[in-house]
Amino acid sequence: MTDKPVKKEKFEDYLRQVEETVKSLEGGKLGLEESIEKYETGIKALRQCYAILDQAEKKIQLLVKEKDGSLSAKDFDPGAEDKPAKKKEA
Amino acid sequence: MAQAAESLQPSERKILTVGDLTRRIKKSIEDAIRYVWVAGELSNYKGPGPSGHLYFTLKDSESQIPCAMWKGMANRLRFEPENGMEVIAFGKVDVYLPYGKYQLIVEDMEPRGVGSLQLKFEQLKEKLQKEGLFEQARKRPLPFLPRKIALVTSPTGAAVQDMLRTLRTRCPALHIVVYPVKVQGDGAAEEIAAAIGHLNLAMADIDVMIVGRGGGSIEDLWAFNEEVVARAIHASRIPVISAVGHETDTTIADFVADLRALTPTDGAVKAVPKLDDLVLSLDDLDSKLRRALRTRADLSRSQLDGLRDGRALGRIEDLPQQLGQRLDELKERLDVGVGQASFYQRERLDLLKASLTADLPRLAEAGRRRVEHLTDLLRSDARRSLETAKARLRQAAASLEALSPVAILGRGYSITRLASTQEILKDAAQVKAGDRIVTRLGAGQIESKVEGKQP
Repeated sequence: MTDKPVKKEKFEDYLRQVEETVKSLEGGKLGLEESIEKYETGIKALRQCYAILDQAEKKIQLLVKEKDGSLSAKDFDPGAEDKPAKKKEA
Repeated sequence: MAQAAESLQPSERKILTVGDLTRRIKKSIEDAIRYVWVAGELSNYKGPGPSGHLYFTLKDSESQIPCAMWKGMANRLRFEPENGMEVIAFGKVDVYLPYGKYQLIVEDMEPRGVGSLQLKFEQLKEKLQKEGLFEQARKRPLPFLPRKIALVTSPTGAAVQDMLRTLRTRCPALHIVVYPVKVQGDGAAEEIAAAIGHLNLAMADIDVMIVGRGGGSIEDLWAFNEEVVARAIHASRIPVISAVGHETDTTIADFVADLRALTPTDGAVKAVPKLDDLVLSLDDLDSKLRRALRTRADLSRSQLDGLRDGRALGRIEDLPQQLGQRLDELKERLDVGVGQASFYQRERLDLLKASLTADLPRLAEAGRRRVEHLTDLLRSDARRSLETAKARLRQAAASLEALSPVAILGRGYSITRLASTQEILKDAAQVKAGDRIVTRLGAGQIESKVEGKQP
């Protein structure tokens, strides 16, 4: 199965943006207007970080090879998940 | 032949109990073989058990024999037995009556060069190292927060459970895809390699993959020492974490992978950050941002207070007196508003107020400078264009002068006319002897009579 290429906002890019904003604000060398602008971009980036964490898909799938060689994914319930690990085979 | 006779004559059949037979086998084996030296490859060794005895298998390409080494003898070994090691063992064959099984009771053992699997491992390792497959520089960085992760492993067994459990605990917001493969035995290496390649082709949105399996003997783990797996990991665009066996197991896959995890669980830990920690640090950044801005705003506020008290104002001569008053009014009005505003609004208002007032002196100063600059610019422009005009005039005058016939006469040329008609003479044929002519020079003129001429 092929997922559509979704545009991927990079969490770490936003995170870095927030960290840099904090650093430059704490440096105290910015003018007031600039500080407010920075603050606002910082907050925006921070919201993106939270949003990315919220949006992430939460699922477990097992790939199954079809006869034509393509892959399909079905939900995977690793049965023994709640029980203590079974006898080790692999 | 005696055996055949017995079966032919049922009445004289000698019937043995299982015990009798086994005892006879035991006796004949033990009499025939006694003590021997055996060379073979050590495998299935799991370390000393609780009793201190060692159990393992000696094998070669044809056969294998289970071995036991009792604690007292084992303690005297001068090396650490390892699976894959080629050894020479000294001992006697023993048949264990209750199970009818034979084994070699090893009394002494020494390593004999390097085991063949081990040798193969070292050879491949050296080859790939030379090719640069292990180089640190070509290792892909792992994504900080993967959103889709693939596990190339057996879908049954403890390893996949361990990984799923760890991934879900650390980072519940995760899309996990399990690519089921055979992890040991014939064709396992090819399946693993194909899976890595396939994921790169068909699921390019995977952020990172863990390739691995749980612990086992060196034979069990062997697929991860195969060249085809190493090449597939090397070719993968998706970063690969290897997670094979236990801490003590090192495979070729570990060297090629972008990151080596000690166990499958460790692989899961290294693949994703702990979401709780992440949220905590985001919250921390949030409060840092707010605090930094508040500090900046306080600074502006104290600047504003200074402005109101006239300290800063005094220095700006061009700022009209009434500006200070307007600022005071403004501040008062804002203060009233601020009192009624919510905390956040108040912060915003404070900022607004501070930014307005802090910027006024700067604006005034900038304005003054700009006017001065423009004046200078105008002045120098006017001067420059006047000079240009003068120069152009001089140039034009010079050109005009150069063109004037008077100027040409000044250089020694002359104009001659026929006195009677004032016709300018350009050809000798225009005159005849005795004609009166007038020649105009740079200064003055000459009257003359034609005496003769040449054509």
